[in-house]
Amino acid sequence: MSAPTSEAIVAITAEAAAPGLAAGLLRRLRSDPLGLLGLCLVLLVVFCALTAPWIEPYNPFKIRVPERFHAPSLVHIFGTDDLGRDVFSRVIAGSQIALGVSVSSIATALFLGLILGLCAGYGPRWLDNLLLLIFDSLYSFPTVMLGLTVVTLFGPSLETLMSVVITIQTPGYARLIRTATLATKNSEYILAIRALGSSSGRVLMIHILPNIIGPILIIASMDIPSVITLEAGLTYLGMGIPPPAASWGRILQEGFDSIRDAPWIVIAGGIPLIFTTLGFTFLGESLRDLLDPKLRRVV
Amino acid sequence: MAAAAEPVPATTANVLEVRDLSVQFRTPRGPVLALRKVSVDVPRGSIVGLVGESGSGKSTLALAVMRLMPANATISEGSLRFAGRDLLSLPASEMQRLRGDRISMVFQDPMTSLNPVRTIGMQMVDIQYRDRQMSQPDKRRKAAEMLRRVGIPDCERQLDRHPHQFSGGMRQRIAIAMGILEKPELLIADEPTTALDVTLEAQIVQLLRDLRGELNGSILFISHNLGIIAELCDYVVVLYAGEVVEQGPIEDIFHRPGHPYTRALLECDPARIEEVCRELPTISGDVPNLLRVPSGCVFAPRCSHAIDRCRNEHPADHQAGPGHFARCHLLQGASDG
Amino acid sequence: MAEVSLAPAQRIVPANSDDTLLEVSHLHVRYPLLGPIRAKLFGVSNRFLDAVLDISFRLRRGRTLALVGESGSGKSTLGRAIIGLVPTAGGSIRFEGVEPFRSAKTGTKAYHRDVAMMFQDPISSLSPRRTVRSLVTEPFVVHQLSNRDLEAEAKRLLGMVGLPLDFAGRYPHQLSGGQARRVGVARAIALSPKLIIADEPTAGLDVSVQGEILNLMNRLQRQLGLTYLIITHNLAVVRHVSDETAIMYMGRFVEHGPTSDIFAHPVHPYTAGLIAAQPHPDPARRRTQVALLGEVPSMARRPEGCEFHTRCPSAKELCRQTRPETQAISSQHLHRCHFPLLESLALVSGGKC
Repeated sequence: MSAPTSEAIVAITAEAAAPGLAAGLLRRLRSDPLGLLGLCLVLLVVFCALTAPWIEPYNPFKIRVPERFHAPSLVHIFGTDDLGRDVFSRVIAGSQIALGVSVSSIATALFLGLILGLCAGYGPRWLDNLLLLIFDSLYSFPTVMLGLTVVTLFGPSLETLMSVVITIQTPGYARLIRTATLATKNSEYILAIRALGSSSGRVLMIHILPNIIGPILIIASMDIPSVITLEAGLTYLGMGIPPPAASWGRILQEGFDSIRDAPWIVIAGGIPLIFTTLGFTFLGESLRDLLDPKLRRVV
Repeated sequence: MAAAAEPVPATTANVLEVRDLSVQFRTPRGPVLALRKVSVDVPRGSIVGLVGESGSGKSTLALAVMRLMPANATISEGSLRFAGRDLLSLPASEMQRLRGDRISMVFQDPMTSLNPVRTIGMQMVDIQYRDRQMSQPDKRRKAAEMLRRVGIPDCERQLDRHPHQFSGGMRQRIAIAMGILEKPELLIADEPTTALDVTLEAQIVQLLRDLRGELNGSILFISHNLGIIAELCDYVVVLYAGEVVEQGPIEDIFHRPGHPYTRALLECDPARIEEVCRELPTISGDVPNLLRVPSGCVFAPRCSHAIDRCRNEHPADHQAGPGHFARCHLLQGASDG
Repeated sequence: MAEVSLAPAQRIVPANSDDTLLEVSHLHVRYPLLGPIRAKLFGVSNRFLDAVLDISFRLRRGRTLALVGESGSGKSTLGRAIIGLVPTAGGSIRFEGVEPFRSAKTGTKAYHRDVAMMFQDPISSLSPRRTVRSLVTEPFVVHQLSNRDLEAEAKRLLGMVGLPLDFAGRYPHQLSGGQARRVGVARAIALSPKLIIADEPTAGLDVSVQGEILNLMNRLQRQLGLTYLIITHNLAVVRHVSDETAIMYMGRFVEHGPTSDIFAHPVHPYTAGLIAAQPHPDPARRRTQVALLGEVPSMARRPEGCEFHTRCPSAKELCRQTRPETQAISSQHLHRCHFPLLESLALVSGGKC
């Protein structure tokens, strides 16, 4: 899960501070084909996740053994798996899990990271040092190993997965927010607000937070495919969300088991992962480039 | 010593001739006419001051001469001649050869115009890259000598330090040393003292005056500070909103200004006002938006002497004295100035 | 302090009031260069950088005091210490006889209603994501005076600084430097303060528009009975707009007195050097020699004795060894110099007020 450097955050923060940016961004996005593609893919996945129960052609959990291993056809777009379940419906159902898990765990991690990062950046030096120590220790822990350890200790489940994600993501966000806070807290406008006699709470919430949150949101959204992939990976290893949940990782796992008989299942499980990863990455990078003042082409 | 591509006729009276230069910037909101038919001459061996406030286009002119303008800038008309050579038709490689060698520039902020990760010595030796005959130690010696000349003590040792280890005043001296190292014919100094305290500013001005005798070069000195211009320059060019509104010898400009803008500018300078007054004079209004340049005289909306003709008809350059011109209708035919 | 919205000309300021509004005594402000643990580890005895040393002055109601200094003089730090942005390490600040930072929260809160600050960079001192309206009414919200009609207050404030009302919806990046400065002024006068600290009010402004801000500040001073502390390095402006001037060098006052005296007869060599270094916009009055050589020493390595001796044209042995104490030429005109330039004072007769 790569995060941009702190310097990039600071540079983007300065630029993103200008309001009225959202409208300008959408306008400029139109001229960036990759960004547009990303936006379409993301919207596609979001749409599926939101409307899954209504657009699934079949019940993704209904087992129809007589129809097992049907190749893709007009009746079953992605064919059926070893239990006769329609793979396409499972893929669509999987989008709900994918987005649901990733968005909620990243949102939680972001919320926690925000609180910790603001405290570290704005609070006393000793608090900053202490929090940094905690962040860095957690941050340097290898992701998948942590995931496997936790799952082994507590058994595979949705909650375990989410807590692993939150534990891993929070330090990264906290660090970014801390850097952005440090960069902003000495700006003249913050000094001016403090000179008015404003309380620290007000300075943080009303003046610092809105100015730093924009680029952080973009970065967090680019972490969504990483979390989805992590979930898929853990599930593939048998450590993720248990059956009969139709997560994409599970589809991949089952598909790999029957790869000789029904190769389409693996492909069907892989396609949504590719789309989602590409979509969020293109969109996120496009937005980040648009916000980066150094890459501005027109004066 | 110098490895120039072709010999340059050393007999041109003006080292730089800018004639009717117009520069436009392409922006999302339309073309910005940053410079409109600007004509400036820099005679050999002189210091020409370019005075202008924000939005006047003085930095644009400097960058245009150096051909260092951003990608969205175009020169829509006019000519640029340096020592008789047409700069606009030079290929990029030729222009690059001139830069740092025959024309060099000193910028406003020495913090950002010096490379922070290379030592001063390295940077000063780099500048001499064209000189294939000179050895490395000799180039270092030349660099150290130039540092001594600009008043940096202990120069041999300083060559091995990085820019951030020097104070602002020292850095600007180093930037000047780098600018004159190859004895350019033209040194363009873009607000070199603006970021410095007044005592340092005075030292830099004195340094430039001292160097002038030795260099045989010319300086195009850009500033918004009338006091510094008065200290240093032989000729003055006054820029307003992308046009040259007045130019001439320094005494004429300061003692007998022909253009209402120049006069108003002088009146506003608090250093010039002898009697202590709480209500300081100003020029009302704002610099015009260069997206929509007003027809007629560009200063008319703010001019207290404007007549109808000023708003409708763009004035031509009228003579106000020998070598002294102002772009104002009120001078036409009149013998005042 | 329950107030109804104050109409402009309600403050009456006696012409020669002896009211001391602000009294600063032996103020000392310092910054730590190293943390306490590291200092012990490296055996560094003095881990502090003294930015402001032994500053004492009294500012009377309705007056304008200019703090003049070059970079590294500590003038901005002094301004920030007075407004409370920077903690002090010694000495005291008294506002209307009360020490605002000693008292409880309420003391400091009330102080911030009475003292406002304008910052150097006009645009970056305005919160980028807030509209002009929200910026100028921020003081009311901060001090929980939101029962006021904020819309009306915004209109009133914009009117007082001469900005058209439709600017209320603009963002800082849509303002010019001069307009942004006016917004800063509007914010500063929002709560009808008694004292305004203005840090470089003319920085970045063209000469032709500097007057607008200064004239505005002057007008508001008469209308609202304001007292100003102006921090600047621009001596030409100081001469016109201030009643008293204090010259700072490396964190100390080297000369302090009525502006007219300081300019007519500077007594400290640094003051004389500063005045002489100002270029005159007249080619007939070119200087032939540099007034002051060298640069301001780093505050981390202060010279012994009189800190100016390294650059002083009239430095003598005593100057290198002993730091001069504050001495008085008259009750109003003080200086720190062993050998003040008294010849120029020969013309002054009697004491000046």
